[in-house]
Amino acid sequence: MNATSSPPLRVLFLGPLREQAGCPQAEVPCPGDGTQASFWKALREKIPALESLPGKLRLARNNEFLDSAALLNPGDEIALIPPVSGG
Amino acid sequence: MTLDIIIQAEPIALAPPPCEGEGAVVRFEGRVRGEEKGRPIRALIYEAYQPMAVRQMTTILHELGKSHPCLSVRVRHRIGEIAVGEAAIVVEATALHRAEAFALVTAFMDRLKQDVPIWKMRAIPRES
Repeated sequence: MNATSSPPLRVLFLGPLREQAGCPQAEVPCPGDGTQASFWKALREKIPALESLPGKLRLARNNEFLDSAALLNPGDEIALIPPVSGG
Repeated sequence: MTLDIIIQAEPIALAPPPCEGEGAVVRFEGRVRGEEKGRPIRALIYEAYQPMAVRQMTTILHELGKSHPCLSVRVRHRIGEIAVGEAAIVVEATALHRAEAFALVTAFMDRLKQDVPIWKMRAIPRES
């Protein structure tokens, strides 16, 4: 299955990030190599407003933070978690 | 250790726990202050990524319970508009002795502010 025919990633923009992105979510092609570096590149190409993202942004999948080396799979729902401020 | 975690829009009303053999009940209540970044406000607006926030709080409390064994923990975190003076969060731990309950509540609040997807979205100025 190649990148063009595989299901895209569904990306959720959470908290303050939603305003920066201008939408609550977007679909981004899943990179062929599945790496987060390739994902960021594809995301910024799709939404240029996200060019300057907060430094401590983290990715989550299935309600768990992703290790920076974790690979992304076609069809994943990826949540972008900006620095939190609860409590 | 039993856990009871709720994220809610309504004001928090958490009655004292029934006595079940604990020697200590420690309750922390975090309230909205009357100023944000030096400016007077009348409310803060909070937002949560709820499924993950509940899961993260559960994971964190189970981890902390290993080093600070408590009998029960209840957490209530509000979302939406929260007026000055109202509680944004209540954490209540019961334990056999006070040291574990104090330690768990303190450590939980530190972790919450790092790893639980809840955000102060904006402050509503007092004059508006």
